[in-house]
Amino acid sequence: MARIFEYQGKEILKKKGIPVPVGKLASSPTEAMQIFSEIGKPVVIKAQIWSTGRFKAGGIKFANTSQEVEEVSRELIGTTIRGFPVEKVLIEEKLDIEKEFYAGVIVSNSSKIKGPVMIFSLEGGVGIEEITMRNPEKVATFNVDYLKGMSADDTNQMLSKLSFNDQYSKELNLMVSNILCNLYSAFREADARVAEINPLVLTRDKKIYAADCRFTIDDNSVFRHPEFGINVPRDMERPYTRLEEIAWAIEEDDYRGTGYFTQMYPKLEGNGWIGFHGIGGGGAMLGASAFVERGFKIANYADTSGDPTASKVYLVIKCIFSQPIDGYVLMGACLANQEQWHHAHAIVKALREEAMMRPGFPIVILLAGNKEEEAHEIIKNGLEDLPLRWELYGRDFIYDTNFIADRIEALVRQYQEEKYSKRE
Amino acid sequence: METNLLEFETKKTKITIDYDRCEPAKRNISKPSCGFACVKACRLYGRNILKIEGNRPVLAIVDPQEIKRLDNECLGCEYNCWLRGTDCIHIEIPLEGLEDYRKDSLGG
Repeated sequence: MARIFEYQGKEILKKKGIPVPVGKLASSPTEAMQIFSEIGKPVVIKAQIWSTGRFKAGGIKFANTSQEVEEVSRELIGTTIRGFPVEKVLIEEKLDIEKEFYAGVIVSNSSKIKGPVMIFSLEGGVGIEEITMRNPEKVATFNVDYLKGMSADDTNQMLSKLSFNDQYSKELNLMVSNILCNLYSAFREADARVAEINPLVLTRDKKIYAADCRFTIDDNSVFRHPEFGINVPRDMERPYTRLEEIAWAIEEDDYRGTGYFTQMYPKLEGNGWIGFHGIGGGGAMLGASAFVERGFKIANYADTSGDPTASKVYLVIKCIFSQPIDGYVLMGACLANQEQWHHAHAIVKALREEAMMRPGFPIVILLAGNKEEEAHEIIKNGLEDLPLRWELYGRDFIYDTNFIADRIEALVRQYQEEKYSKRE
Repeated sequence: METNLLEFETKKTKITIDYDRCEPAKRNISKPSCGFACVKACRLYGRNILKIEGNRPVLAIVDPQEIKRLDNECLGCEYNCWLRGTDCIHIEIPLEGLEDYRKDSLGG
């Protein structure tokens, strides 16, 4: 799921007629002060990053004067919060809050639902998950019929479950009901997986605002939304690395199998990094655990399953070898849905290019499944004259994850001893 | 100097066959020692993009869009020409930005 920034989410809400606080985006303290003078009252300054929990992380602060705005925006812009660099801040009028609600639409993956669910909570704000766990009676949900959409009758039904109409005025009931309908409409038009307003604020002068929001967009729909400026449509807990952005092009517009590549750390420092290449999930995960137990650090996770083209596999291997790694492991255990000779051709092409740059480099390949024998023949013929430390295993070793980990450990040790003895 | 190359593009690759290095093309023989390994590989691993004509591998499909649609980028021709022939096929698989990244991260 690809994320968008709060300010982009608010633009969507505004277009749908959902009130948002007066505010503007600033990328410098000078701009922030200019916006403050336009708003002309106390403001909240919000770091624009793809992360929830910004308040607790110090990414949301208040300011009453121009000097405070200058200080806070200077403090936030250019800093890093939860691994995300803050390039812009949203300066908004500070609301005089009487009450906070929560409104959201999510796509439920539950086998019973498999569709959008509208959620409304009488309590919102920081720590919404804990609030709803503590007070389930304050939360109403509604499974939306995707073909019919969300009607005013549906939202009224939700609100009456919470006795909202008994507690609040008719006008507020109408406003919230409209907001829920419009939020669902925004969710649909943005091809979102999640569209949340938290908090949905009732001010002391009885107005209602989407004070904060979060949208995540369905990865497969990102191409329909160039306005969001999403380069890599994947949900990440940190900004994409340069290599991840490059590697995204392997999959972009090419649906022939998976060619997934992601780095486990934004920067690889020190020794002991393993370039990790899995095919399929389960066995590869066991392998990764076994390497970590032996003190290795996993530089990346890569997956080439679903019968990708050899060209795709080749590019994934090239990305893996673009990192300062001390060993490469391919864990491809017993796949029936792809002919492994395509992987074999890719491995040979990539490793023949890499070998001269890295004499003695340790490589362990576990490749099993359909066309395994032919694939092994291709690899053996392709690598036999190369100055690499390589070992190849097949179906007899698919349950021997520890053995594979032992082998890479032994080869890496030899490689490092050789490297250091040459340096001395 | 005139080049004696067959060049074509698939969805993500560019394939070049150098006829000056290709044994059957250069000597105009029908039974080369490679056994037309590239064409055989294309039948086994690929989508029959190549065929033998005039004692050389040529395109069995001429429409560039049809090649892009059909080709499964198996890399089999390049490998088999290298293993059994005269290494006259080169497949370029570009990934924008990767070379520059490697220079920065690996120092060349």
